[in-house]
Amino acid sequence: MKRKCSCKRHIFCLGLFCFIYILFFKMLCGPGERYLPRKMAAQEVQPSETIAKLKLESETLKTKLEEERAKLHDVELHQVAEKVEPLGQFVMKTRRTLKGHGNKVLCMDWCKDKRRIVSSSQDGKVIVWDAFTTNKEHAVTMPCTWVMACAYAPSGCAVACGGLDNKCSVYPLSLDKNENLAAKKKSVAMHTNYLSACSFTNSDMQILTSSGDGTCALWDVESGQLLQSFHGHAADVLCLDLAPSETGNTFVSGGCDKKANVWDMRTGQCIQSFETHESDINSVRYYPSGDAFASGSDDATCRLYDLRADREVAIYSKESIIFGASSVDFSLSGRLLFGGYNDYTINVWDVLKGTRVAILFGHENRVSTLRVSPDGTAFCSGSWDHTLRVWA
Amino acid sequence: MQVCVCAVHGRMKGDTPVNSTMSVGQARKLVEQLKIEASFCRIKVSKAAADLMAYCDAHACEDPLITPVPTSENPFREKKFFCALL
Repeated sequence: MKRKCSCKRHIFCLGLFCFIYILFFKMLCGPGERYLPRKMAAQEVQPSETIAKLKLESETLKTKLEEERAKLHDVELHQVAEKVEPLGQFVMKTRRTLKGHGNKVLCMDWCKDKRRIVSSSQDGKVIVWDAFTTNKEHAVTMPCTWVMACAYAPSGCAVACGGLDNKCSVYPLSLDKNENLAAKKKSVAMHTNYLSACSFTNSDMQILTSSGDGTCALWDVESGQLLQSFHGHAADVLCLDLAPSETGNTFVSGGCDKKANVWDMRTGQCIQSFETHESDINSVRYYPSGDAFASGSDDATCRLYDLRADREVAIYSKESIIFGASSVDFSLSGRLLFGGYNDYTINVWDVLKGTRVAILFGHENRVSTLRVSPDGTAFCSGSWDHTLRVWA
Repeated sequence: MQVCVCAVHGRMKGDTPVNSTMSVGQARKLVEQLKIEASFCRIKVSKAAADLMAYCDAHACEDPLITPVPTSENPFREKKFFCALL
């Protein structure tokens, strides 16, 4: 009796299994397709084949890119510049010292009026100074420490800043000294990691930010809306600079992945990429004509990249300089490149000849930020020694 | 700056995606990006260098740090202190 029952159960189970298998088969097959098992096997092999194929293609393209760039490398910049008049005796001294920050100065920016400066520091304070008189005009305490980025609005009526709070906030500046600036604060940008740099575009209405989350982003100040995001860096983005307005809608960014990328602001596309530095790129700045940009890096060199030749055209380095360059900026004509270094000095380079023109001492700790004034008469440097110095 | 920032919160340095851990999507994006960069129209370095030099030359006279301006015209170099009207 038992055997009969187990037999029936067996047959029933087998039948049920077959029925389910057929159902499954039909569902996956769809109408007309019959060779599913073979197709599934083929699909499993495809992803790894594709990656290998794509890797090969990317290596081929990289080699082709290098070849194309090398073909046009017919001469060095300093060779062409041999016929240029050498620069005269270069004398610059500290003309103003701005004291008031309680901790390391991390960032500064000039106002278009060539007189006011905004600076931010590790202690969370953002101060607006009158550089002529060294008076403090405004002071804001941010809710976070390490305010790594600050920028003056083109109109001079607002400042933007941010850092470890992962945000970029805009503070409208009021003429009334007693007014609490923090009350009118507007949170514009939101990143998922620290804010490393920010800059207004041509108007007070848009801000470009870069972040430790590896992206850059363009924001509308009024609504706080994200207008465009820029993905491509493989590590923290540390710096950015907008192209001079005449040359169109591009900007350059530098990051911990040793790459400097040039972006189209409208499409979010990376148009050019340069990877010759041997360490993090701390600072990037466009040449005044917009055809080139300079970078300062932890590898103790500053480099000049020409955008139309699509390659590095100069390296500014010396064996005696072993500390990283934290910040770079050009003089008005582009002939001089100022670099603030982690060895407390500022080196002044002849951009065309590639030689050092002067070395400026004064700061008592790392130079963290450096900007030339809008009219080119002076430049300001900020340092971990809690001060800012205006040199002229 | 990087040393202290690194200490405050972990940084992605050295996390550049190695080819072996790249996904298909990432590999495709890289190839597309390289194609865009490869198609770029480049000029010779000699031409680019000449243009940079020409720009420097054209603007040298406007650059107060190259062509020194009289001390009286540089507000930072002036001996007398600026008086702010209160």
